[in-house]
Amino acid sequence: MNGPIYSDRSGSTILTIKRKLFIATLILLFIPQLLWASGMSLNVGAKASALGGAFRGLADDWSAAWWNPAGLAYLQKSEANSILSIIIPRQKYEPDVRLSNGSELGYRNDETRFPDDRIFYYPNFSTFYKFQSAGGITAGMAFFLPYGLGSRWDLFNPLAGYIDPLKDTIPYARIDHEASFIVVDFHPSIAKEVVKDKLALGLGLAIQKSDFTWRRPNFIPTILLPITTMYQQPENVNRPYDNIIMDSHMEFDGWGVGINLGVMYQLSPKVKLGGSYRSPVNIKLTGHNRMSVYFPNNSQIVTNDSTAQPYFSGGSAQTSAEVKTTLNLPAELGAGFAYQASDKFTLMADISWTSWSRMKILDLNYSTKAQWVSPAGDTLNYGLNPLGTPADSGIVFNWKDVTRFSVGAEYHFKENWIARAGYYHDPTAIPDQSLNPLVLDFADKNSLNFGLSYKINAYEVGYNIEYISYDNREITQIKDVNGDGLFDNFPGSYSTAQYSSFFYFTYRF
Amino acid sequence: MRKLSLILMLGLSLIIALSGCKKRKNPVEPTILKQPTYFQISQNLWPALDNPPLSNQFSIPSRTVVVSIPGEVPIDNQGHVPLTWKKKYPVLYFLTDFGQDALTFAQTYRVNDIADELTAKGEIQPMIVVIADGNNPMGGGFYVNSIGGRYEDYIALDLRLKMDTSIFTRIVNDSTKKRGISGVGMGGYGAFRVAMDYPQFYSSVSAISAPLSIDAGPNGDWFTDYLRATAVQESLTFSPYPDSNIVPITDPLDKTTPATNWLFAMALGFSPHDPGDTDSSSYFKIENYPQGGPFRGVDLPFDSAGSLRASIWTNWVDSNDVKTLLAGPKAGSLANTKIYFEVGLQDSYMLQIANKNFNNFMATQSYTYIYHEYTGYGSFPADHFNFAFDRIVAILKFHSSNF
Repeated sequence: MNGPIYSDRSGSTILTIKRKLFIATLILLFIPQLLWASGMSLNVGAKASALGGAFRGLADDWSAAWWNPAGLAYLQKSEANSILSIIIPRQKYEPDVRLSNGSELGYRNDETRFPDDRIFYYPNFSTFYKFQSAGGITAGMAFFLPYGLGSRWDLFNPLAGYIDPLKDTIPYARIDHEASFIVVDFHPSIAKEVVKDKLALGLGLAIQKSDFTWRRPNFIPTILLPITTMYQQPENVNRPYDNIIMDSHMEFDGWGVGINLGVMYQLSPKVKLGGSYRSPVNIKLTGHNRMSVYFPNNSQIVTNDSTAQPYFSGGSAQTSAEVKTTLNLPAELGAGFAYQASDKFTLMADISWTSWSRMKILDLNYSTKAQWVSPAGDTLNYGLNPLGTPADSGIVFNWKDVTRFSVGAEYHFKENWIARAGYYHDPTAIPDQSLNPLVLDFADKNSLNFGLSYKINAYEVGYNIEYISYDNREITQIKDVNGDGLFDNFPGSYSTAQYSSFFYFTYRF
Repeated sequence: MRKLSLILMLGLSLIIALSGCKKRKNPVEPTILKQPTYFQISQNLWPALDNPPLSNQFSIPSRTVVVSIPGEVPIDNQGHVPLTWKKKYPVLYFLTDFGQDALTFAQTYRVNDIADELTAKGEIQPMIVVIADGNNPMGGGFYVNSIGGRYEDYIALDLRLKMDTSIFTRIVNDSTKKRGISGVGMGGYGAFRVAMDYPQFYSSVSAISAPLSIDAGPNGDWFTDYLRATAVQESLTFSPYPDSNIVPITDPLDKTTPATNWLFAMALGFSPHDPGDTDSSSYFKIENYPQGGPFRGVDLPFDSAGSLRASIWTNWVDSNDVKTLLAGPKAGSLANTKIYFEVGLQDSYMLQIANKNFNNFMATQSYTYIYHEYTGYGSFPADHFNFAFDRIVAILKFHSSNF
């Protein structure tokens, strides 16, 4: 088919479809700003998901832009796609967060806790054109969310006696732990078959926007405060006043750019091999840390030492400091094959390596000096300044590289009907030293996927479901990896599962 | 037909997918019931503290005791409980440390807030906590009956009877099984002494950082290695009689001389000077108490040369050391009493030595007891009482489990 790409449609129909695509594009471009994602790596594309991600050797739909852009060269027609992914994480966490000597900090230990249960909806959208007149080059743009996570928890409350419940009317924030991490990828790609029926190459550009939220309590040692009787004398500080509690709520956003390359090789009429590489992406993040200090309230301590008055009279103080950091997203190298066992049945397998070890420590660079004013109106220049305290000096990841295995199968069981199934095993990237309930990747994962699709003329609709089983995990030792005085992992018992649904619609023209 | 099949299939899948969507709920936050403040029992004259040899100016028989009442009790600010109220509560007596005033202690360490929260969470049963002090111008006399006042009788007789029969009688369970005694430092020592001497009144006893074994043991010798040695380092000086030594009572909480302060408070309780004792080598007089009367004072168990005075030291150990008492004259006195004691491993008064030795001793006995050692974290040591929150929680839980 060498003519105009809409040659088989009447003009009015083309206009209608164009209008719908335009409207859909606008909607889908704006919706993601309102959405949450979950799970650090998200499967891109419904078909690829149904195959457990064993897609590099097949790569025969738009999501090849992410998995293996060389596969775009084999699209038979131009196509427009939209997908709605629905993700339902079901985390459970039983905290056992205590100081190294076993003392309580205020965590709701030995209690099974759930995050605010939510269903995450997010779309993917793409349009790729097959330029038959330009030697069969396929080019286009995809828009998807390759990474995401998010959870909000109520895990903490100050210890009894920290505040005065009869005087302090400001409760500690209910949502005291929160993470949200969304990477939106605007992904122009191009692919061409360079050796007919043998070899195709593809190239993509990943223009990624990230929104990142991180919230947790910080603990500022009281001995840093200029209180005469306590300053640098921990033996004079009574628990629960050993630390002043700060709610640290950081929000960032930023952009980064990377590329991905793909190759597709037809080993035989029945076997295709695919390989791909995604470059690392460094996203420069800029944002603010909104800090709220919750002061203890103990009039007796103030009576004994008037220099404690600004810090031991209850209430809270807020400030916001500008923070910059860089998020180092991983590179990925993967290879796979597709074996067409019969006209109806195809088997696939993939292996991929992801350099999550690039996620080390998110160093937080405060570029403005925060000014604190106590509830009594005192200016607090010392001790609570993020430039001078160990609070929030960095977020420790120290993740490790992982290798994922996937297998999938596709079966044309009836005219126009295709069934797909897939499985993958994906080890967790998070070591014990930095495991926390905020990031869903609690443990090694095993994923089962099933999907169906149905073609009606130029349209294809499909649905698939994914169930991810996570191993249970237990952490017993609390760690402060970077020595900033703030623990970096959350001991306790972790368990979770995840259900996902993918609805997709494709129009080929 | 195909469309119908497709719709049915998608619908079924959606139902399966959404079946896991039910919102889960975290445990409901318990409602914490609270009284608006502590109750106080101010009595002008506690009989056991009245008219001791060192005068009322020293024993202070007009004392205030602080009481924490469970939040669920419908009690008014006068201490009145409706006649319809039938529930009675166990009572924990808590004795404060050297130099600590009861109300200051209660307000500093927020015992009521801690008890109320633990009660709301179901971690302890609701209980009345009575906080009493044995403070005097020397910081205290270790709650024993002595020339400074009969503190032990004050706690075990006067105060107990006041609680059992006076304004709180409608909510106090006066059964021995529902009564415990505890304390910190000097108060922990006092709690053990009271429990040993009046075992018929208390079913459980506990002590935080208390000198429960003062002499030599497998872990060292608390008195010799710490108390005496440190007091000497603190420039404790002796003057020859008749220019008698004077007890430094101007500031019992002077942090530059903690061992000296403890030494004299213990001497007040354990070795008040016998006017008939002609050996004045360890005698310190208490200046101006009583006004105009014969000088009264204490004997330290060692003289200006640092040598132990055998008669005094023997009295300290044989009549006042908890370990020695339990091994001898008070053996079996705590047979029916649940026992808990603990210490911080970085105690400023080196009481880990005393407690480790006491634990060694208890291990050879048939008592049921719990011993716990606190360690610090990071640069935050487990000192005498800076883990106040943790220790109060542990004490409340221990006694609650035994009521």
